[in-house]
Amino acid sequence: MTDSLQYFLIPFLNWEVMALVWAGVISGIWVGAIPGISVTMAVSLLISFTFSWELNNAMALMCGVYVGGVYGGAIPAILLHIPGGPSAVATSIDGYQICKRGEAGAIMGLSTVLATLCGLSGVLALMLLAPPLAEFSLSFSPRDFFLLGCMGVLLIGSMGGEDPVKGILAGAIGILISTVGMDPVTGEMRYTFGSVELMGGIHFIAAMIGLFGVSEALIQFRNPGMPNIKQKLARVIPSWKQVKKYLPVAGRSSIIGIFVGALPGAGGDVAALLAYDQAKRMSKKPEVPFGKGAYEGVIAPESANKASIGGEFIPMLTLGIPGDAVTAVMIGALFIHGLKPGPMLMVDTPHLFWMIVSLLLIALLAMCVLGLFSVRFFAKVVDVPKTLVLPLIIVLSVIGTYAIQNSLGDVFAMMGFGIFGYFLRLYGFPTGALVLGIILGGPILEQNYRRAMQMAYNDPATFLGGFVSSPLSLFLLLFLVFMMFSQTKTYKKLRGFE
Amino acid sequence: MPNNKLQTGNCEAETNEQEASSPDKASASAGSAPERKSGELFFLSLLIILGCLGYYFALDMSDDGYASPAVFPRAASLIIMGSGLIALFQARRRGRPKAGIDVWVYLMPGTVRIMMAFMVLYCAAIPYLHFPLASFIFMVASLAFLYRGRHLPALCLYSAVSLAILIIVFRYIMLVILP
Repeated sequence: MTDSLQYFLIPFLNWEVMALVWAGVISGIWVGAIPGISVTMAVSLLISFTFSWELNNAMALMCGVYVGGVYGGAIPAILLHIPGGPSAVATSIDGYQICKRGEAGAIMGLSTVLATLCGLSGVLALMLLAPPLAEFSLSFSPRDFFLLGCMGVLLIGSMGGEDPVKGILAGAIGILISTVGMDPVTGEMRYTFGSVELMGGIHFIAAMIGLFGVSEALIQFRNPGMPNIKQKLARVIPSWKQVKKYLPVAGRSSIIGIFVGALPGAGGDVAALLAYDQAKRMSKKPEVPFGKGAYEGVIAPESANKASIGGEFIPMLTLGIPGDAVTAVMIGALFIHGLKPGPMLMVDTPHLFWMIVSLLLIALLAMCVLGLFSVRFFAKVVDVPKTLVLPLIIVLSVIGTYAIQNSLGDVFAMMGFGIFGYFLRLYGFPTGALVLGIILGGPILEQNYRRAMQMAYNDPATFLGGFVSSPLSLFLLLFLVFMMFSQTKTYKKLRGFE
Repeated sequence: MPNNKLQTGNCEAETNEQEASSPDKASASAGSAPERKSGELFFLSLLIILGCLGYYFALDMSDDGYASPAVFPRAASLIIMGSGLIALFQARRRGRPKAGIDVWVYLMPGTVRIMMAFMVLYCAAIPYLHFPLASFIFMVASLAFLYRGRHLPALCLYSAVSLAILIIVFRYIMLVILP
C-alpha cells in the first residue's frame, strides 16, 4: 500500500513529469481542435520521438496528449459543427445549436467542469478495478490470451469500419505483416525474400505512422477547405447551481463511459453516442429539445468520453488488449520500452500502473484549468487552415519514422503504408484493425497460440477440447462469438438498431 | 500569413469532383444507396491476390505440426482470401457505382495525386539533398500548389520558420537524429 502511494505521488513531486503532462495536454487540445487531425495520429507520432526517453516522461507526454486531444475535439464541434474527432460527433449535434444562441462559452465551461469530474470517476474505476482484474488474469492460460488477442483484433476491426468483414480482412493483413522476418521460436525466415532489411520484420511504428498519419493527411487533401466562422466566447466559468443541475446527467453518462471504455474495442466515440441516446431518453422535459441546443446533449457525450479514458486503460493494463485505437498505440509504446502489457505488467512494474493513474489525474486537472481559463486561446486553433498543417504532418511523419532506427528504408515503408492506408480508408477498411493486427499478431496471438498448441502436444483435438474443458476459456470463447455476432446486421435487426 | 479564405487555392477548381469523391460523402452514400464505390472490385481483387501470394510463399516454410512457423502465415492468408471473397461478393451485390464518376478521379483527385507525387519525390530526395533542404522544398512546393502559387513569400517564410522550429525542437532539444 505504501509502495503504491509512493509510486502514485511520483508525478506530483517531479516537476519534469508534471511539465510534460501539461505540455501534452496543451498540444493535445491543439491537435484535437483541428478537425481531421486525430489524437491517434498524434500519439503514434509521439512514440517515435519519445522511445529513447525514460518511460515515465514518454508516458507523461502521451497521457497528456490523449486527454487533451479528447477534450480538444469538442471545441470545433461546438464552434463550427465539425467534430474534432469521432468522440465529439455527438457533441456537435446540440453544441453548435447552443453556440448559435451565443452561449458557447457557458456550455464549454459547464461541460469542462462536469467532464473533469466524470474523467476523475473513470480514473477511480481504473484504480479500483484494474488490480483485482490483473490478479484474476494471472490464472489465464496461453489459450485464453490467444482468445483475448483475437478479441482485440476483431473488435477494433468491427467497430471501426462499415462492415465487420472488412475489419477482419484488415486485421488478417496486419497479422500477415507481423509474421514478416525471423521467426522468434525457430529462427526461420518468413517473407524476407533474401532481404537483410526485412529480417528484423516490418517495424510497427513505421506502419502505424503511415496508416494513421500519412493516410489521414492524404484523405484530408481530398477536402482541404474549412469554413472560417468567428465565434465569441463569454461567461466560461459556470455557477455551482448549474453544475448541480446537470450533475445527474453527467453521473449517468460517466457510468456508461467507464463501462463502454472498459470493453475491448469500444472507445470514447461509442460511449459518447450511447450517453447522448441515454440522456435523450431519460430527459423527460429538457428546457430546449434535443437537437435544438439542449445542454444535456453536450454534457452527456462529453462526460462519457472523458469517463471512458480511465475505462479504456483497464483492459490495456490488465489483459494487454486495447480499449480503443489510442490505447492500442500505447500498447505499442510499452512494447518499445521493453514492457509487455498484460497481467504480469502489474506484478513486474506496479509503479507503472500507479504512475499512469496519477498521470491521468494530473492531465484531467490540467484539462479543467486550461479549458476554463484558456478556451479563448484554443478556440483560435479552429481558424488555422488545414492546408498549412498537413504538409507539416508529412514532414513530422518522416522525422518520426527515421528516428526509430535511423533507416530511410523505414521512411519508404511508412510512405508505402500511408498510400496503402489511404486506399483502405477510401473503401471503408478500418486501418486501426490493421495496426492492431501488426501489434498483437506476433507477440500475443501467434506466440500464445503456439504455446497453447505445444501444451496440447500438437494435437488439435486436445487444443480445441481445452476451450470447452476450461470454464474461463469457454466464457472467453462465447464472449468472442457474441461480440462478433453483435456486429452483424442480423443482431442489429433483432435488437431494432436498424 | 495566408488566411482561410485563400486556403482553398486550386482546390476550388476541384470542388465538384471532390464533392463527388469525398470519402465521407461516399461512405454516407454507401449507407443510404446500395451502389459500390468506383474501383472497389479491383481493390478487393488485389487484396485477394495478396492473400494468395501470402499462402503461396508460406508453402515454402517448414511445416512440422500445428505449432510450426507456417501456421500463422497460412491462416492469415486464408482469412484474407476468404474475407476478401465475401467482401467481393457483397460489393458485387451492391450494384454498379454511379455512372459518370471516373475511377481515377474518385481514387485520386488532382490534389491527392499531386501531393502523393510530392511525398514520394520528397522521400527520394532526402538522401541527396538532406533533410533540411528536401523538407523546405517539399513544404514550399506543397503550399504553393495548395495556394495556387499565391502568397509565395509568406509561404516560404512559414516553411522556413516551421522547419527551423522542428529542427531546433527535435535535433537539439529532443536529440532526435534527423534523416
